[in-house]
Amino acid sequence: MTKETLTLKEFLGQLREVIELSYPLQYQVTAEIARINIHYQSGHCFLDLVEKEDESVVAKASGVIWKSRIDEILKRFRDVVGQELKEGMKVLLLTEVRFHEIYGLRLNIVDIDPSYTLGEFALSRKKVLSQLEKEGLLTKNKQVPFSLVPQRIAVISSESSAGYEDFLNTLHNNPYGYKFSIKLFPAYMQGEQAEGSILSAMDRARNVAKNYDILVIIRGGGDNVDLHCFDSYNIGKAVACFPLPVISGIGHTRDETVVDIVAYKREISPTATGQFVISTVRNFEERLDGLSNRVISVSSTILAEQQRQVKETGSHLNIFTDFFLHNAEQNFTRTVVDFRTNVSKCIASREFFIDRMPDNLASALRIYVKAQINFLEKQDDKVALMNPVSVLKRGYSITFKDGKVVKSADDVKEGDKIETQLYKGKIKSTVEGKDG
Amino acid sequence: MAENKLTYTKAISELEEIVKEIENEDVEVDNLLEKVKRASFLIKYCKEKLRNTEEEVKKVLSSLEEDKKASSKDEDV
Repeated sequence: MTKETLTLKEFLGQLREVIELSYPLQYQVTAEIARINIHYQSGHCFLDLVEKEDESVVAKASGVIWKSRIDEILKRFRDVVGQELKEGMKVLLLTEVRFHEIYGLRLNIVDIDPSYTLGEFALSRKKVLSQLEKEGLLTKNKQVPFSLVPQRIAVISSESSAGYEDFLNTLHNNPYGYKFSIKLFPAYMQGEQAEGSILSAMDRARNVAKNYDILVIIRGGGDNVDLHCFDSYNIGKAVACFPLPVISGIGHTRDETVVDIVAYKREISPTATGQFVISTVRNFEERLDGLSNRVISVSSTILAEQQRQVKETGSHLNIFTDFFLHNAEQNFTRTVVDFRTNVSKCIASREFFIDRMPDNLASALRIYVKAQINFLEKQDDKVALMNPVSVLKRGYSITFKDGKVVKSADDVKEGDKIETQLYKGKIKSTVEGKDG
Repeated sequence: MAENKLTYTKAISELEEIVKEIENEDVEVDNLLEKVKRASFLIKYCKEKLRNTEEEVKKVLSSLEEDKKASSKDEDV
């Protein structure tokens, strides 16, 4: 069958010629990067390229980016995609085919089109979103009740990041003096470990979720950062199903990540996230102040009205008091006059005993005077006990004619106008007739 | 304890209830004083809570409760 025997080198040399003659151009090939490694000595970049169908590898080849091209290719990729070229990415390569007697078949990568990878990301993000939507998770977190005052905050971030620092500063230096209790659940926010690390931090936070009002995911940084993990299905699902409202404070200006979309609220930076929290608390306090003002205004109106009524009642009371005191004084004066009359009458009627019974007279007089004094003292007590209001309250009333108190039916005649003071209010009437 | 614990939500809804009542003049003057006292307690409680840690709030709360007891004793006399 074989006409001549070749050495391995001769054979592979022929193979190289055939391949290089048959594929002399540069070809566009799509592949997934299974492994990427820059050789520390040579500075060349070696890659394992694969194609997968349902997660199993159906094609595999080695690739290389020569040192001379590597900086330009990687920089452009980073600028457009916002991430380093790395394992798991789908790439569109411009490649030449090389066969080497020692190294075998190798794709010599001349260029990488970053927009293809970007498109792949968008596509995968879209798939994740439609999957989440199918499961009803897109709006799930937005329905979690939001605390009136989000004062207890669980944070997923990396401790040393500038973003977390910004968030803390914004909260702690708020101009209203609000206090926040903040608990950090640390996680790697970029790199290969980010997804697993964020998921486990969220697990830890979920276990103590009842101690917090909100969960905040904080990551600073500009556009040139790796946001890939925030487009992952697993983190998207974890955010959607979190028992607290999740606020995404991932600093970036590109299209929203999956986390931004499923979160309760998305803020554009860690600082903005802090400001949102403060303004929520401020809104609560303003509501409180509004209610406080209403309490003050209503109660002061009511109290002013009460005060006015009390004053009015007070002036009524004065009228009664004046009247009763006047009346009592008159009674007292009359009693004194009566007493004098009685005494002198008594003295007069008994004058003729004087000669015959001087001792009797003296003692009788003494007894009489004592009795009168007792009587007067009792009158005095009565006046003191007399409470004009309670007298009226008991149903007594006072009748006036021309401002003078009427004490006898003789003081009035038919047709006279009289006024009756009751416990509450006055009655005006005309005398129609009288008894006695 | 957990059920009796005064939250922002409970405080503000009770406060809104009180404001509604006194604005509708459903409250007698004697009760008004009580209502206004309760309202100002709730407002003070919330304001303290916004600016203090849980521990500090507890302290303030207990001193407010004592004030309340003391003033209701005054009324009895």
